[in-house]
Amino acid sequence: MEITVAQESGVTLIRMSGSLDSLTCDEAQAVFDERIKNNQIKLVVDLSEVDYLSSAGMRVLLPALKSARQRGGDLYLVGLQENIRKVLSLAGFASIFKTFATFEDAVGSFASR
Amino acid sequence: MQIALKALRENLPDLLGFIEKACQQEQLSRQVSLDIKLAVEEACVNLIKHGYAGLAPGMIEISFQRLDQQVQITIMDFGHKFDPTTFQPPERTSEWDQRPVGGLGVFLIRQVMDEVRYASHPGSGNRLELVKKIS
Repeated sequence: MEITVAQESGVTLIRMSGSLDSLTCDEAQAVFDERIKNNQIKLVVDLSEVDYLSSAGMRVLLPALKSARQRGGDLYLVGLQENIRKVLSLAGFASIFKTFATFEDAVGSFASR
Repeated sequence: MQIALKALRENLPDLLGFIEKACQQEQLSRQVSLDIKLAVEEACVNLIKHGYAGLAPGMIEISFQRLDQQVQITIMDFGHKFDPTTFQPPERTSEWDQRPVGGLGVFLIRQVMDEVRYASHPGSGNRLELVKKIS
């Protein structure tokens, strides 16, 4: 998995590609831990190039969302492929995560809070 | 098609790689392949984490078989019995701050596969059969 992090408009954009699963979750966890530690709590996770998500990946995303919200921020998901959307829905996470089609839409939502 | 490796995290890439290759060889659709990979990953991770807890790491044996319009994946181990067909589904309706993080793996196996069967026989090991229709 490749993960890139950028700051735009006061929001932290975390772009992932590949699979978010048991083999890559530790790497993703470290990225989120660093962001939260640095009080970067407006997080947008671009999953448009992630084609596979397992429960291990969800065990990274949910705590990151909790940490961000408990600090007054949030974690949005962007660009969900159909399979990712399906797995999140099966897991009951569709009602928890706010999702957007594009990064710009997510930034706009943060701006209007 | 078969693979047999010790139930160690370092072997997970090869176990999942076997499944990906098997799905490709059978020219399964992308969605079916992803569902199968997910079920196998969840099952293997459970075995690696818990299957041989307190024991020396034993084997995970996976076979992949196409039977007409379905695929059957059989995962054998020789560790502790754990029947995923009787596992209680995790809680999935609470608000974000109350939502538990774990317990999803077994649930997802049952969601993405069409049939899940489990049998455990002392001396013969534990057998998890996952069936996915492909038509």
